[in-house]
Amino acid sequence: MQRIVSLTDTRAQEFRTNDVHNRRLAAELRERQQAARFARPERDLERLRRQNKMFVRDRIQALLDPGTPFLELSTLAGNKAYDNEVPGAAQVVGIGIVSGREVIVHADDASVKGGAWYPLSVKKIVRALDVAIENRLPVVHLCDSAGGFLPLQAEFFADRYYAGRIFRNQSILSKMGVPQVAVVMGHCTAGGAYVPALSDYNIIVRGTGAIFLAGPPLVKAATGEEVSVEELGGADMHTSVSGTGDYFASSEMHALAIARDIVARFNRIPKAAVDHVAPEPPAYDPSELYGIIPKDPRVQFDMREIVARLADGSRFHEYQPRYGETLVCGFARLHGYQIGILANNGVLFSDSALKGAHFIQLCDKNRTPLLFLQNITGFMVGREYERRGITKDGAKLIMAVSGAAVPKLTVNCNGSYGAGTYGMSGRAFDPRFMFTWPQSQISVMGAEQAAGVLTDIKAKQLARNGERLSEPQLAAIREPILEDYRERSSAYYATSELWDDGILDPVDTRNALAIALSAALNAPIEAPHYGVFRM
Amino acid sequence: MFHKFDLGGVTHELWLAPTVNGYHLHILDGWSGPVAFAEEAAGHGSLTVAGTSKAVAFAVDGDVIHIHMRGRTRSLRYVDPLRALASVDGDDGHNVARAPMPGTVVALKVVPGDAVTAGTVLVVIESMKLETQIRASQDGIVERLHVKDGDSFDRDAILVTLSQGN
Repeated sequence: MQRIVSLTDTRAQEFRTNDVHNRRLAAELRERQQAARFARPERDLERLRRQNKMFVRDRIQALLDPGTPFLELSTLAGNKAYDNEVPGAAQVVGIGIVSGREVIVHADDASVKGGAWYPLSVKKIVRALDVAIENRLPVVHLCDSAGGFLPLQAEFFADRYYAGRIFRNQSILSKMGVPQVAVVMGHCTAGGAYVPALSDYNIIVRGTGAIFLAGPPLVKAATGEEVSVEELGGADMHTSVSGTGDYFASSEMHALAIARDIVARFNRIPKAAVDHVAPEPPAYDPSELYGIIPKDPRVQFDMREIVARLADGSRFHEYQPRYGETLVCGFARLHGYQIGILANNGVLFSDSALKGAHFIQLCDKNRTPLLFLQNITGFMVGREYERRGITKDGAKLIMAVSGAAVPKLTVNCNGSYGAGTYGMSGRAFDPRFMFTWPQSQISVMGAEQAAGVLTDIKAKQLARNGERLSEPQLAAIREPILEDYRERSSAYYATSELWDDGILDPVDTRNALAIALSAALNAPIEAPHYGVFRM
Repeated sequence: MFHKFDLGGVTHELWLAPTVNGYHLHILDGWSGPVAFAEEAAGHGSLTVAGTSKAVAFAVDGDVIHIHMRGRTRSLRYVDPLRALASVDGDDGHNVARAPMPGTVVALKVVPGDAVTAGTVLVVIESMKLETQIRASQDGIVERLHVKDGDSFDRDAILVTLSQGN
């Protein structure tokens, strides 16, 4: 396979300006992640110590095999919600190695609001279990939640993908033969009681762990019965009387040791067979990505420069290099796995869309996972393009993206707009994992365009009554729209709302994608089949 | 979670991680680096730590490995986390041996003051025409026998109390 020859001049002024800018963004990301993981009011940490409970990060560290990577997902979920008072949406989710097996870890963070479930907490848990279902990953739940945050119950209880979905997903996992272990390290009340109950295995920690449909205060209110936590749903009762609990643990560390022992005897399911060779680092230094990603997101850059810093040996076998050039397609290797890459080098035209649809089917036929590198403003618009069928060609690309059976991974490298988001395997198209770079934006159209369209509509409405908008009136309409777009199209907003699985420092992307791909191959890959392509 | 090893009464927490170039040893809050072992003959081999190789002789006896290296012999005992972490602070349910079913005492196998390890037979009981051995669930010292030969008892009756041995 041919090595990409980089045309980047690492001594150019522009490179240095970008480098400074992007390193600053990466540092800001690390700071925000650090805060979401560890910054807690002292009284909350003190309460955990008093209760003889470990901090959630220490629990996870003790659970995992030492020296192995942990790919944390959606670290910054909720960072733009609830006045930023619920870091990580009070949940820690990630892919890690326990007793030599890849598992999804889902842990309540009791240092945040007692581990209460907010709407975004529920969304994060449901997503974690979707990841488990799609990739057939066993789950370890570390349960320590005060229960649903009741003032916001209308936003997490009744709908299809709300809290009930957690228990539905747990049941589906069990039906699929994908095992789950729950470690009860705090109270599991009401809905939360079903997390351990629906896990194939559960462990309760003496003293701090408890499971009940209603806690002692609610029982007293409902029936007048006075009962202690221990009597009502403690470790001793559940493991010796009710059979709701399987294993009695004398401490959290004991419980984690039991959990590791349980995971150690899970069957090892062979992974999906895809082409794999010995891995090789990229020939170009991935840290050069900082100098390549433009400071001004509107500046075009060659995605091959990105591929050269992600792929093994910087080798890239480009497919149809002379056709549909705004969509770069080709084969590469990522930590030894063969992958097919689709990367945007400009707006999508009919030929780029056709090339993309064709390449996806090619990869699907030869069992090659797909990586989408988004930098897409959308499909080309205008009379000429409509006459040549830009919409039906875009539909072909979307049909191919939706139908592909091989795992898809998506990274929003700079921007993702409109139907371009759909054609490039956006969140709605079930990529197994979706990541974002710190400066990336995502929205239905650009802020300027949206403001223009909306002010134009308003002006036309008024014109019918013979009125006209003055320049200050136009600005008064335009400015709030621009502001709203700037705020709600940022990577931080996207990740806050779980539109992705997390923001990545560009230099970490190669490793994150490799872990994601390795996890994705736990699920068998279906035979290729598609819907009707509009020809 | 690291593996625990006991070396002369001191616990060391270690983890051996496989890598593309052999093994990597991690010591909790301490050194980590590449290690390799080549067994040259039964009980003899060469241990390489961070590029330096040393000849070692070893013998494995259950959870204990005796290692002779650099003129000294040391014994390293693997500490099973399930056992070591179970009930270290002692509670009613765990430092007593209870009757699993109603029956009578056939034989007492220990006397107060005996040091026992997990698995030691404490009492033999007869119930439902079967003899059952009641064993210690953890290490400790026999504090008190609650029954004597020929006594009958109900299910869940306490037969022996153990105290945490020091």
